[in-house]
Amino acid sequence: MDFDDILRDFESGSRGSVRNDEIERAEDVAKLTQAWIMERTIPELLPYEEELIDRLLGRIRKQIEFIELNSLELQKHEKQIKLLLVIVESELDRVQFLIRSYTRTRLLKIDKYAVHTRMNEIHKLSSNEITYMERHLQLLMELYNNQFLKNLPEALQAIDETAGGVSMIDQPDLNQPVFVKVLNDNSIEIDDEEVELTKDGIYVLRYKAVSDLIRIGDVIAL
Amino acid sequence: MYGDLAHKLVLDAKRTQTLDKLPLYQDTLVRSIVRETRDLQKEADYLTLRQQTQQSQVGSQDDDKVKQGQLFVTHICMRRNKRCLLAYQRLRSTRLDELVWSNVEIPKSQLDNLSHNEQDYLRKYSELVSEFKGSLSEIDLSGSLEPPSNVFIDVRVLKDAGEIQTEYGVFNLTKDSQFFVRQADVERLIQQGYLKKL
Repeated sequence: MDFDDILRDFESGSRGSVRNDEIERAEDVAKLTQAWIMERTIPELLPYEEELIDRLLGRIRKQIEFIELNSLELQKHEKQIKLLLVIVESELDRVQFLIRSYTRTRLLKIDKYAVHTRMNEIHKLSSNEITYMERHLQLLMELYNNQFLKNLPEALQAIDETAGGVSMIDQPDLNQPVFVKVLNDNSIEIDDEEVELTKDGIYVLRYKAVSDLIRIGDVIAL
Repeated sequence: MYGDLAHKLVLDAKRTQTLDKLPLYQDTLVRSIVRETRDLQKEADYLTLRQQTQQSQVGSQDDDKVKQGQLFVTHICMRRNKRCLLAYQRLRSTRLDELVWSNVEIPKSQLDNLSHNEQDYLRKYSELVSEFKGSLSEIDLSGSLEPPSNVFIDVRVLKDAGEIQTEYGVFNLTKDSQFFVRQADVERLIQQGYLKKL
């Protein structure tokens, strides 16, 4: 092996890593899109994609920097850079939109099922979301208490009552139908009836019936 | 009849769902329902007490059953009142949350319709939301939830908004003029109704 070989090795190695990096980037956006779709179609809250979001946020920061740096020098070599800027910006807009919608959808679910989430699903939240939920619940309790709850008889002051056969805690409706696409052949049982799921097939099923398969990734929600 | 007042409150909540603006907070109604619930509690206490003292005596069984039924209905009425109150308040607080997220200045006429506690809540929730937004500063969380199509869009000015500064220069927003601008720069003005996307 002479010097040129080493150089070539080095080059191909570094080029490989660049390509890997690009693939990882493209994959991350695809993953985010999937996470966003799932969060919007599935009735219950899904675990927060912390690492994915963090990676993407880091890249967003870099892109914002890139745009700011280059738009300062806009006058000098206007033509080459302008098109590039627009492309970067539209990509940035799209990713920002995905994360925004993803986060807002999660907050909506957290707000809607706050008491339930707090009791059973706290592990699915990011630390920011936990702080938000706790403080929002606290504000709501303050409001309810001041408005009327503290004036009611003591036995009626709780907000998470389950007595009398009626639970006061809102829970996601796991029987809601969802559209799913099957990635690996499987079969499930619904009401004592066996349902075959063939690869690449699209089905409408109760979420409860496929929630386990979604978790392991054999089935994705559409 | 017990429950009538709560029914009225729920009707008001139902009407609210179809309105763009929260109607006046039903202070007297809420107070009356709370009072009714307390009265019911007293009655329930009294009935329980009677039952306990009567158990030692030999009473007719039919009478006993009637009393039990009465107690049961009283308890149910109380719980129903509470649920109606909570439903009413929950609807209103959810609407307040939406107001905070919509990023517009809340008009005075709307603030006047809120109870004192609700105004308090609104203020504190706004703080909470801006704190949460701050933790994710790379993304404008209250931005449009419509998927973006173009970086640059055509907008028409609906109300005079003065000058705005963007990375691409200064625009003077006078009524009825039209501009080709970056969507991200004018997002807020669109939400606040100064501009219209064409």
